[in-house]
Amino acid sequence: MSRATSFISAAAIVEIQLGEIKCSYIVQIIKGMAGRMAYNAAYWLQTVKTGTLLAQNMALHKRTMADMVSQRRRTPRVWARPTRALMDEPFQLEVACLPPHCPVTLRSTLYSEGNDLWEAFSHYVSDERGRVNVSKDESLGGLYIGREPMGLLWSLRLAVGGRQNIRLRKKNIQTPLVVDISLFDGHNTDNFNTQTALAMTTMERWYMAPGVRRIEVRENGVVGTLFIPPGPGPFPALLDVWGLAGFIEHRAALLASRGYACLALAYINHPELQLGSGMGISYFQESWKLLQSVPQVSADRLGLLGSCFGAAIFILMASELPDISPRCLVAINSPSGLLNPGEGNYLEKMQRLLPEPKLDANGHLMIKDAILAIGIDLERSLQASGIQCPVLLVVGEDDQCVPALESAQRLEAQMRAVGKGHLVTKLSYPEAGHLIEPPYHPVMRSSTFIFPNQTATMLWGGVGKPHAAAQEDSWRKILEFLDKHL
Amino acid sequence: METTTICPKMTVKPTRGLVDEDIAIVISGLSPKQAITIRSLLNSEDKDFWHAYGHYVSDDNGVVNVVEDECFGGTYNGREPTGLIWSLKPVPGSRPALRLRKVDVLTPFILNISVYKGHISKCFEEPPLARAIIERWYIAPGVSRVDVKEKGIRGTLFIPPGPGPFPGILDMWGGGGSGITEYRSSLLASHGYAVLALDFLSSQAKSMHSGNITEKYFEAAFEFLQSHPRICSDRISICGFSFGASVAVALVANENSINPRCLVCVSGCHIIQVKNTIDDALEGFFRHPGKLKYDESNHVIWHGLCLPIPTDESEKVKVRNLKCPFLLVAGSDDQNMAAAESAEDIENMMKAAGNEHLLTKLVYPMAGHLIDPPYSPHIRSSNFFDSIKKQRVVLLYGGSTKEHCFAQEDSWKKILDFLHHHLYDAEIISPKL
Repeated sequence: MSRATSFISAAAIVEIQLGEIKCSYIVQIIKGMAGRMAYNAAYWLQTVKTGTLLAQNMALHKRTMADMVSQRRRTPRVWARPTRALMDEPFQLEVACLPPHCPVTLRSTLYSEGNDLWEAFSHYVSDERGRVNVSKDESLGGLYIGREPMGLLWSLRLAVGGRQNIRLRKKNIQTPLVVDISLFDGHNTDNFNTQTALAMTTMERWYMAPGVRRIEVRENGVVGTLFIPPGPGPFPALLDVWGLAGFIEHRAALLASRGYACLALAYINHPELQLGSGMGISYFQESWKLLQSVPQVSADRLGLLGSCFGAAIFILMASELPDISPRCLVAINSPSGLLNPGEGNYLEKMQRLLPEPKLDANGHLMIKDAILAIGIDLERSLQASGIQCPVLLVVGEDDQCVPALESAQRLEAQMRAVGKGHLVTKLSYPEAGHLIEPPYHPVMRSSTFIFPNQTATMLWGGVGKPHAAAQEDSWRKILEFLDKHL
Repeated sequence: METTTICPKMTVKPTRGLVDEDIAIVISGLSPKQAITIRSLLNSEDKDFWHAYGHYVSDDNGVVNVVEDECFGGTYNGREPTGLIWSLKPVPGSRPALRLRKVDVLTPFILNISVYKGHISKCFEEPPLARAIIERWYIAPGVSRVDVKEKGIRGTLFIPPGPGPFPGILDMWGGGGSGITEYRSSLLASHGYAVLALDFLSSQAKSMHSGNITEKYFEAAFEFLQSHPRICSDRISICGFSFGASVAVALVANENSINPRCLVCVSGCHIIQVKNTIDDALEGFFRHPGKLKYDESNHVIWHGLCLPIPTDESEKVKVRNLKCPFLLVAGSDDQNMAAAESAEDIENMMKAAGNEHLLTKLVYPMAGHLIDPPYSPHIRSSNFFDSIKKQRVVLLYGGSTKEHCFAQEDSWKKILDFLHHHLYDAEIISPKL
């Protein structure tokens, strides 16, 4: 019932803000929504927020808009297909009923869970029939240029005037990200809030397909979230970890939506992790055993998929531990070649080993060089030669956080030295950075990172379009790799 | 190394689609040349189970692609990408004469698609080989639903996202069902129109209009759309179905303030006059009870009530007065209304009057009365509460499943194109008043 109250108070706020404008219909929508369980409160508040902005615009430009429409003599329309899609699915975006050769701006907006506004925009010109097709046409300006069907998603960035340098991270992955795409007259770059959009469409982007089950795991000291596809199984399964940023579920949810039972594993920065259990190797062994024991999982069809330091740990596991026998391993931007996680608390060890990282001219933390400095000591470097399964290494060559390219090269060399070079596939992307996410995720070159004793801006690296292309290409190849080996 | 098997992998696209979108189902990881049955199962809002199933054989790679492969039997056969949806029917043992109708358009239908070994038609035992779950929505994200109880009318308004203004549609459904039938309206709104699903039959509607629904009620509804701040007052269409279509064509042909930019009538007829109240019009429809027929299952056939089509023009809607483009859809096997015969006669009347260039007539062979948006299942007959006789009957709607579902798919495409052409694309010279 508290949800209903918050809806109604949100409605009251909307009415007050809009003043004389009769937007009682928005109030009615919200009241109507109060009893329903299908939608999350945040989604509707987002809709209200957008509605508020647009309603304000409407009030300001009601007459001008109507005149413009009748002068223009056709009313433009923009639509996206599909309207509800998984995050890694492309969409088509089309505009029709514009005047011919009309310059327009397409603007995507998204409200994160933290209520930050993300936006992207691009400039197009309609053809002689008054149509724009984002999948086929070239963007002439804005945050990306050229033919970029998904540009309005991956070029999203935090709007000017709000908080900056924050990653787009969805904590509740059971509800969608709601993206609005608006059409504006002319080629604009700012002040969209003071203009009236010609048309708009809304899309939902989901991390979880219907029927995927999400189960919180707290067993034998293991902390994580298990995602199981619908159906009886048995399914091939994956352990999924990220780097030091903490616990991230969305990739595991997507993998489950693609048919893999996936355990997103927390090993650092999680309130329920029992400190002192060490983020040591035994913890990961326990989680491996746990995944194998899930009834819907096919016990000998397990794989490991990790990013950053998590990947390094997985490489160690696969190489050194005989009871861990993955059928395949995917490592994204791992520092493995140069840092051996070893036993005990990995993070503590790392903090001891790392020299004080310096800040560069922009105030960004230069972790990569620090890690590179350790690697000279070969004893500390990871021996991956014990790996017996196919390995897919994904490398962003512009990774400024870890020396991903050097690590991957070293690992490949180690495998070749023992005659296992054929097991290694390396995908190396120039100008891609550290944060290689599933496709169409906004590209961030740097963001704020909270360490235990300091907050700094991390430089991840990566340049817009090449990084986005790397995300798309690597995901496709990762799925093919998993399909083949699991 | 011995390997345990994993289940076959099924991908369905889209996972959350609108009801009028295709689906693509691919199953891999089967044995080569394996016989399987794919079954879709839906639990309706009335808690009935509907299902459809098809028999397939995988190729040499153990793959079945429902878009391309032939179905060898089941509730449909041949190459039918969407057969698992449109051939849905109540599971054996269900209550008779059911109709699948979504009442709450803000939630989706959940469809459970499972793969079973062999070619089976019953005893679909758990667990299946593989399963996928998809959602089918009648409304796109961002479309708002608003209850309308003002200006003397009652209905539900669906508005697309954005500032608008949008072209508008007055959507008039037929009889039957409790409450307002909204699903076609919300679907049209998902295609970019502000749509008012108008209630003009219920007692609540009557109470909004001093007890009787007359032509003035519909004028008020049309005016509501025209004066709405987010609707283009000069881009409004009227869409009608069944009785709603019959009333719609009568209203548009009359001299009144209802001047839509275009008119769509599905499964209606042109012998209803709206001179007095709607109740009178309904009673007039039933003035020859002797013409009621019954089929072998005692299902009521209303088809003959309109026949023969009068030759006297004063007994019919004056279609000569129509000034807007007119899309007319009918099924030749309509057992509920003489829609096909009516369509022929309308064409003849308009030819004689010289305005037949406005008419697009689509009469589908072997399609029945309930021409719903795709990919709804074909309902050949269903329960109906006859509010005049105050009794439950089973009405025969007619149609053969495959042809009827083709009619739904084809007519919907044409209705959407027609609306887009006249409401979005059309260049309108006169400025808004």
